[in-house]
Amino acid sequence: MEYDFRKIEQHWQEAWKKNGSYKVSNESAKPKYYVLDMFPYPSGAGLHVGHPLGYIASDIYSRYKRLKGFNVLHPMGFDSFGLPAEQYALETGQHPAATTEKNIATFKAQLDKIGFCYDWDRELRTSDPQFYKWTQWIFLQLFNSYFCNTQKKARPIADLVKKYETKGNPHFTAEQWNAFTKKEQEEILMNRRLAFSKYGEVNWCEALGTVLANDEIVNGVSERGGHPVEKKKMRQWYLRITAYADRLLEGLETVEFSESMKEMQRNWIGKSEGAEMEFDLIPGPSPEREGSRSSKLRVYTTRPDTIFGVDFMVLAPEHELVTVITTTGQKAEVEKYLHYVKSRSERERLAEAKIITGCFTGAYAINPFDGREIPIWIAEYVLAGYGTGAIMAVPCGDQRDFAFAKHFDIPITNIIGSHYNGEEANPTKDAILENSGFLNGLLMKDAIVVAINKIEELGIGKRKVNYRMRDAGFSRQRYWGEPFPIIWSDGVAIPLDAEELPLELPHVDTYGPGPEGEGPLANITEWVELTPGGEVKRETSTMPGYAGSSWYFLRYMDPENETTFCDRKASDYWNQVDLYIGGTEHAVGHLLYSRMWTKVLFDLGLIGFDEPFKKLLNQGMIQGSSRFVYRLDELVSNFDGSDKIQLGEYNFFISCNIAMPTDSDFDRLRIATLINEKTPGLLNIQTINNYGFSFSTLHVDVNIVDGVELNIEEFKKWKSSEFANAEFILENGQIYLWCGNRENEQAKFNTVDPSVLCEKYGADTFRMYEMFLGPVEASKPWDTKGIEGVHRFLRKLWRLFNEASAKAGKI
Amino acid sequence: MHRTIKKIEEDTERFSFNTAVSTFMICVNDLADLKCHKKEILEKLLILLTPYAPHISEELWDQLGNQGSVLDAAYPTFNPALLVESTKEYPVSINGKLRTNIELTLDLEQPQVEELVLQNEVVQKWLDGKAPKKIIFVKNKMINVVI
Repeated sequence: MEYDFRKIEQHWQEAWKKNGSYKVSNESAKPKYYVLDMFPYPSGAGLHVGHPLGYIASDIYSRYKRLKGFNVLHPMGFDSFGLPAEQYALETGQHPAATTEKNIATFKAQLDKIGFCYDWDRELRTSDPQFYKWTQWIFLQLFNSYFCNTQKKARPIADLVKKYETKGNPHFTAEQWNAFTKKEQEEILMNRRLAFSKYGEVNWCEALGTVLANDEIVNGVSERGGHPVEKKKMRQWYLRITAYADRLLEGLETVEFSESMKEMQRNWIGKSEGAEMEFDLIPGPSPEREGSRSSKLRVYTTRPDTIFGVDFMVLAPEHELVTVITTTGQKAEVEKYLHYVKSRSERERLAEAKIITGCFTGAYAINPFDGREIPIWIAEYVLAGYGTGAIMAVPCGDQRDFAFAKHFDIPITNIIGSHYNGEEANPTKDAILENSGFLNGLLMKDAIVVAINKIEELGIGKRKVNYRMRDAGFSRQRYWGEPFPIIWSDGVAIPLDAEELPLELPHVDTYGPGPEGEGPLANITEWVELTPGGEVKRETSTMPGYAGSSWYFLRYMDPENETTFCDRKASDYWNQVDLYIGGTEHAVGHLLYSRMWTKVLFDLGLIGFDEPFKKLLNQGMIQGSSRFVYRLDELVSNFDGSDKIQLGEYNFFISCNIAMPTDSDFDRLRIATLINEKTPGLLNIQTINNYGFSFSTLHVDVNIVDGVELNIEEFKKWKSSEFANAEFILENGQIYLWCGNRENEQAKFNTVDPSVLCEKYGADTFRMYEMFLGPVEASKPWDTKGIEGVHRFLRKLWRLFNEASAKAGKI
Repeated sequence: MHRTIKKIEEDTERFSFNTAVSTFMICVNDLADLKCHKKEILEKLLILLTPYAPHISEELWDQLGNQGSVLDAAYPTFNPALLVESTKEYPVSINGKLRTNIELTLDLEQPQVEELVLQNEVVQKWLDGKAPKKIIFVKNKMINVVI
């Protein structure tokens, strides 16, 4: 009997479906195991060979655990809100819900062909109102909670109100609180809510018509489309993720993530311990400065041990002290420099570290320990938003400070003896300090604490912990996202009642932005304005792409529940995701937000665990390697190039090693002879050595390629048979292609549809072949060459069993 | 087979799916070479293969006449005792030059080994009817016939 994989696979996929073989129950005596894939965004391109790598790995592990006697939850769903569907809607006018629906159908059909063991009864979609009802509900929990700094956890905001009403706080008494207007009270409370609104500088992308999160910006341009991004002040929603910085760091110790993943999160949180200290300023001759004699310069440093090596100060050009301290003599210079900085984007300021720019203000700060006068400069590499917007520069210990000092001829003080060679800075902490007053003879590591103690003793500064992480922007001026369950009245944000959820997305006629940078929802006056004239109106932003994915893993446990986001009994049973599989690209986005939401829900007693993912496995990427075929362009005379023979129109395609031989010289005569065989008399063989050939490369769709060989019949049909009459100059009967990785190529022909391979070889072959390519965590180029070998293996297995049953039959 | 069970289980547990696929290939090649048609062995192989290639596993499981789905079969366990090697392929040298290999059980002592070595065709060819001066036997390592 033949191995008819098509019939077998179809038969069993139908049988499994009919028998509910993958239905998972929350009631089981078996131990539980929860395997989850990062759910996909259903893009229009469908599934490509890169997606299934992780899905197959998780499917294998799920099935393995089931065989080992576990009750395994292995669900799948779709992260179906997002920008691409909206962009597509803008271009075509099609409703994002319709395109999303269509794309999901394609994805599901593709996934089913591979034979995954998903319990589709638990499928969820973040854009489904029955799902986002609970996203909105959790948002309200965040809005109605604050972070208690003594208990280090989220608590209901009502507790805080009660405290204010009875005890007040260090800034106001209970009586004062009670006398505040409702609006004043709300403004104070807004500063504590875990989901809060404030005016902030946002990353406004004109081309996309929306505000982008920091992690949606790569190298200063939008991740999608590479459009420029500028700063703009707008009222925005934020998540107070900074309140959870320490717990997010501590939690990393309890989960199995790769060390590099943990390191990425630690760097993103960017906790540093140091001191913030104040420097006195030297009064200069400028009369403008008279009134500000008491101004001091506040600087944050992680290395107070290097205080005696401070040779200059650098302020961000936007620093509020700049206009105050600049001396008359330097005024013109400084203004010129400020003008220059205005023309520079944040990205340029940080990225172009090699170009050193700066300007002396004419003012000095005084080193509190030795009274030395330290010149104050301004320079673009210091940004106003980080720390205090001012740094103390220690050129012998910091390379950027060193380069700056060398460039502007600022004398360098060496405090680390032979550890500094005068050629470059040495950021060591293991040197013995010299030229350092009371710190002389101390190891730098130990001197840090000694210096901080002294600073606190003198009352010129204090210990301070700094975080690089900022609160996460949580609103977008877009249509295709969750509407906020918030109403604005007289500048006060009023939450909707839980009974009013879901607040469904209204229909819009146009997906273009609303007035003044608002989202498309702002265009629907009848939806927005709840009172005539719009004194009471709805929030018109929508939630960002990461809202639904911050908690979706909980919904799979109890997807049908209409009374709560996830019954406590279900979340207690399934508990943490035991194995989470996905790419590293979500390291500092989704994987931090979902950890924060989990911690908040835990603090509020809604779930029983405070880390969502016990173990994380990062699958590598499958790079679609590109294939190029050589085509003969023209024949040019060697002497002066004056004589050209155009050959492009003949569509001569040449095998790679003939066009570009690696082991011999380029053979003109051979090629000319081969060409004349195809088109007799086209070239003059006698004079051929006076000519040179030129070739171009044509990017070929990998679906008509087998390894490095071109499928010539398919190629002739490709692109509406553009090359139907092409001639091929073969090598061993084949056209070999040139391989390259051109990720940014406009025309992408390197997406392979897994369904095509499943159809040709079977899902079992495809599954095993994807695994055979190499370790799951490794990135690798896609190559279908080896798939035949895996297929032969399954045929061999088939024969083995058939022989067995034939033998059994005879006996 | 027990070696395969152990290897697949270990590889799957540590997400080393690519090496597991190789192990399956080696195992099927070996079983084909041995013309192994024992149902109990083939069944175990199918269960191991189910997570990787569920369709063919279910089909063959069904063809073997099993009731119920292979999806819920009991995962085979391996017997560590069976993993201890009981035989060894000894390299056999003649006057220090490697000439052939002989598979012998590990419990054999010098006299039995000498007897078996002298029966070997290759060794007989080199001896050409003569008696060897000496047969050096190092247990678990090698055999050298000195002529």
